Amino acid sequence: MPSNQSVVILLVEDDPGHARLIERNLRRALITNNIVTLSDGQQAVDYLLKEDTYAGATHALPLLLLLDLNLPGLDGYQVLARLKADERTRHIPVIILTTTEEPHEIKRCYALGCNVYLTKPVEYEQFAEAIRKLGLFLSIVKLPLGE
Amino acid sequence: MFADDLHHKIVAFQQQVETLEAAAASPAQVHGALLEALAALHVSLEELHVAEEALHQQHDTLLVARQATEAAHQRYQELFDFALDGYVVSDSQGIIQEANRAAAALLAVPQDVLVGKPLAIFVVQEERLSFRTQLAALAQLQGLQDWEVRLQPQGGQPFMAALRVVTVRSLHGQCTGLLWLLRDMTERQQAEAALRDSEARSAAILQTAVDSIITIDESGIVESFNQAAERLFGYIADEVIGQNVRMLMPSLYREEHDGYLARYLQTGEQKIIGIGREVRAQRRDGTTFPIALAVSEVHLDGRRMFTGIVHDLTARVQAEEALRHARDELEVRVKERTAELEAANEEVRRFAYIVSHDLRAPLVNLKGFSSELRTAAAVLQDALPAVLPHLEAPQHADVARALTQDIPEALGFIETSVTRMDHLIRAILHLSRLGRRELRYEPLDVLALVQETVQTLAHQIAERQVQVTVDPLPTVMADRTAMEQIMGNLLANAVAYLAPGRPGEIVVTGERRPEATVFAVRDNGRGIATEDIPKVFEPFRRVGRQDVPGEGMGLAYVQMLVRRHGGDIRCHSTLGVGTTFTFTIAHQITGGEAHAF
Repeated sequence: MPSNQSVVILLVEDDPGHARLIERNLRRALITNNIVTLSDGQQAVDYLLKEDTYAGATHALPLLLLLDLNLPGLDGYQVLARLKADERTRHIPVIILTTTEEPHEIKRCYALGCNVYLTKPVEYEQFAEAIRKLGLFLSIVKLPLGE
Repeated sequence: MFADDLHHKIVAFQQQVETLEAAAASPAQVHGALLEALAALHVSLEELHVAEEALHQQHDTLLVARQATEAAHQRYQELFDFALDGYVVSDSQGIIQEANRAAAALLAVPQDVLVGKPLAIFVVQEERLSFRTQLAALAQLQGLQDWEVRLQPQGGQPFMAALRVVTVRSLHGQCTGLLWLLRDMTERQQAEAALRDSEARSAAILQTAVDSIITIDESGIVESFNQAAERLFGYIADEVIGQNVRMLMPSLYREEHDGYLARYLQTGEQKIIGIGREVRAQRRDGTTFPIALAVSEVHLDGRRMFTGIVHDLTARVQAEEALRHARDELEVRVKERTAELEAANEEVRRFAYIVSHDLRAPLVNLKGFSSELRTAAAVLQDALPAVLPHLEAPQHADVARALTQDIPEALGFIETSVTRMDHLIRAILHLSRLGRRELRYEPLDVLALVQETVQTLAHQIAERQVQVTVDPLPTVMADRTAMEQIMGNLLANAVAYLAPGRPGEIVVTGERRPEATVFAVRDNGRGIATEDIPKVFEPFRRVGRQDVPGEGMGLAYVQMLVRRHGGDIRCHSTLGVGTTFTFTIAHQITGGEAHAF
């Protein structure tokens, strides 16, 4: 994974605690990319498609999207659908990170085009372990470079 | 004729004899006259001889005729004597001269005794005078006379008799005798009365019948129309009788009727006759109404007629209509209510899901940051030996206690509470999932299923020396996983909550009943206090001594699954004696199954 600071990971997570714990454990897995955190689904779509408040913005599109499902504004499914419907963003790998482990929700996310579905374990040791493994996994996979 | 002829000859002969006698007085003439006389005498003798022959022949003929007459008389005497009706011959005064056997039997007097008795004495006292008057008047009457009188047989009951009497007259018209015919009217009267009675009764039944009764002839012409029919159709009988029965039918049936009747008469093809059908009829005012029509064929005096019994179905049809309407309304209400319940259910499920999901998110933080805090505290503790010497005495002790006791203790409480909270949420989530999971119904061999379940508990069963008896169990249509969970939970509970100091006995029974299939799991364990029984199916409720680990959800899951199979579960228990859980599985789940949560 390119460890370039300008190549960002977008984390869409409405719970700031979760966001902090995810970031902390990714860092422990030696992920050094800049992590942009947004807490609202609509805001995330605007950021990705450079619309509304982000209209005319010049930021580089993220390398990877870590997406929660229960979000204010647009929920995770809507964000995923909008992202995959747009030529500019459809190639961005999406990892769903959520507390839900309902089989039909997992299925729905893959159908909408998510790449990986991860459940946040309540047990912190398992949680930390899962995020660290994700970081290690990201460090070895090839990802498309944005734009 | 012959006798006259003979007479003339005899007269002629006497004249010749007289002539001879006269000649004898004059001897001159004697000789010639004698010769003449002798010749004539000879002729006469010849003729006499012929006459005698003829007489002989006549006598013979008469004899034959008399024999024939006597035979005929005998025959008539016998006919007279053995006739079924009573015959009496009397003189003009009614004195019996002869009576046949039937007459003797009617009057209960021997034939020979009757002779010489006046017929009048056999007439009842009250009518005797008028009888004598009528008798006296007979001499002036011609022809047959028919009387009805009450006769009094000797020593018997009077009876009504028909008398027919004929006068016998001489050549001069004098009444010389009477011929009587006597007939007992009682039987005939009874038969006639019975007939009249039966006709009247039939007519009365026909007229007063509740159902309308109409009879028609072979060509469809109405012959009778009873009162009920008058009321039902609004016609009076006279308006209908003699008309074609079509007039009582609405258009569609009217056109078909003639053809139908003709076809029936020709082919015997039955559409209504002998079967009965529900059709429509038409009143005088043109309105139509539903009827049940039963037609039967009657053969009377060699001709065919049809009797139709018409039963008005208006009330029944209206009642059916009302019932159908009520049922439809009820169905709509049931559907609405079901939809409401389903919506409410769905809401509860969504609520349970959202709550359990959303409650888990903060738990991640609580766990995560308490863990981070423990890590941070560990960093401080590591640094503590180096830092402590630089602190003042009271602060020294406080910092040491905070880092080594207070912080780990607080974190411990937080973590156990969070763990407990996590378990509760997981349990609710699981229950909510059980309520939502789609059940796959299949025929289940419950006996095999229970035996497999017992195998999974083999270790505990052997350890606690439990005797498990599984009776032959019926097959049911149910979800396999659900059934495994139901039986598994009940059996595990039975094994877990045995009474100490008593060998455990667990019996599983099952029976297919008309309403549902019933299963029971009975144990001789510690039992449940009566006041605790209703609580056993509630989530997180654990009753009795808390010496067996468990989350208190097993029976809640079981109840959920049993209800989803259209059944119910009950608990019967006596503290210290044992517990029986009885549950039913519906034969067929119909309509929207209950996703009860």
